[in-house]
Amino acid sequence: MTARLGFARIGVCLVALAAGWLRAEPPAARPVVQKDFRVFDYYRGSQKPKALLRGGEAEYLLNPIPMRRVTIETYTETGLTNLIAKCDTSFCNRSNRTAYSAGPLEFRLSEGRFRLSGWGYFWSQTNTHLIVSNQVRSVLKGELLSHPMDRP
Amino acid sequence: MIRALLRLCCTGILGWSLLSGSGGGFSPGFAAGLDSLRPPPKAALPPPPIAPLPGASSAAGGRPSPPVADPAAPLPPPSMVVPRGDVEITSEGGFDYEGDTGRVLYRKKVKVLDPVDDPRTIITAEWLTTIVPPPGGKVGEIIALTNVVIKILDPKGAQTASGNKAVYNATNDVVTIYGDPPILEMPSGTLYGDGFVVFNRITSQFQAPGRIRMVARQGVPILGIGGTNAQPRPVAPPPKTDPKP
Repeated sequence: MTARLGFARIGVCLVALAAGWLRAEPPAARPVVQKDFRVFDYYRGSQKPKALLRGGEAEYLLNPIPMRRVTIETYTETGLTNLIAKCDTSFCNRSNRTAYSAGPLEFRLSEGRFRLSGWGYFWSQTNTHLIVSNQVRSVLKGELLSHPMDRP
Repeated sequence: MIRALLRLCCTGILGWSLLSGSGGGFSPGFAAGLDSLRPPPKAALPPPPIAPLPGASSAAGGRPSPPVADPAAPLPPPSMVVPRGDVEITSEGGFDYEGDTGRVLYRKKVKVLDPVDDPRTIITAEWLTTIVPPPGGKVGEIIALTNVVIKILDPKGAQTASGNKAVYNATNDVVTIYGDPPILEMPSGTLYGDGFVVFNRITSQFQAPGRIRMVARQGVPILGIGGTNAQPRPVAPPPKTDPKP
């Protein structure tokens, strides 16, 4: 009789423990961060890079991918860097190779020919198309506008 | 010493022979021998003929100088590059950049300051587009669209041109303003152009071809011509006021 009661008590405890274990929430998942996250785009028919979307840190398991310390670069066919854009935080959609953010963006072309700053952007890497939405301020270097003229 | 004596003797013999005409005290044969030893006098040679240079005038009879490049002469002026300051472009509606073509597009309340540090030209419009050239290239054209207003500040005074479209050609530094009609406001009055008005930034001059209409401001001469043929009115002297005792 006493043994049966003991077994019953143990059984009840086990059942209670199992129920509690099933109801408990899973522990919070730690974000998986990849450093130096890169998305390349190449010129058609060659291995020459055309554009690069790079994040200093990226939680690549999420979709869209949150990135920090974002850099966007484009290159000419000869390998020279043409465009450099920098943003603190962005989201990246790897499937259609786009990136966007509501934060500030700094954009410039090589040799300082053209500089721009603004808020909010959308980048389409396949078309190398950049849209900046607000508070755009740009400076075009005067050398681009000066042409040789005959002396009067 | 010996050489000096020899010279003296020779000089004496020569002088004696000249004075006497027949060799002096010497025998005629000796004098003749002396004469034979003297070199014959050279005949005066005529000056060598100088061929005249083609195209050179010999009226003065002088010898034409050969063509020599004057080092002090100025070289033909080479083409110059007009220095330009940086241009600032701002917009409230956003910015588009196409990497394949270099085309940029500004939207909504676009403002251009040229140059940015001391604006001589201020442009406002709703749209502005241009093509940013690749490294080593130059901008060809900048196009402003919709409600275009160009304000030009120069020593003559502020001039404002407004229209529907403006095209800036960086090659010859000329702005063409299109409108229906394009309006040009100057200190002397307002000009309504015929289709388009051209502004040359180098000479700071406007050109308005076609049928134009000019509305002049009162009392302001137009193109340096103004006033009437009436005699100027004499200015009345100020009234005299007696000093109070």
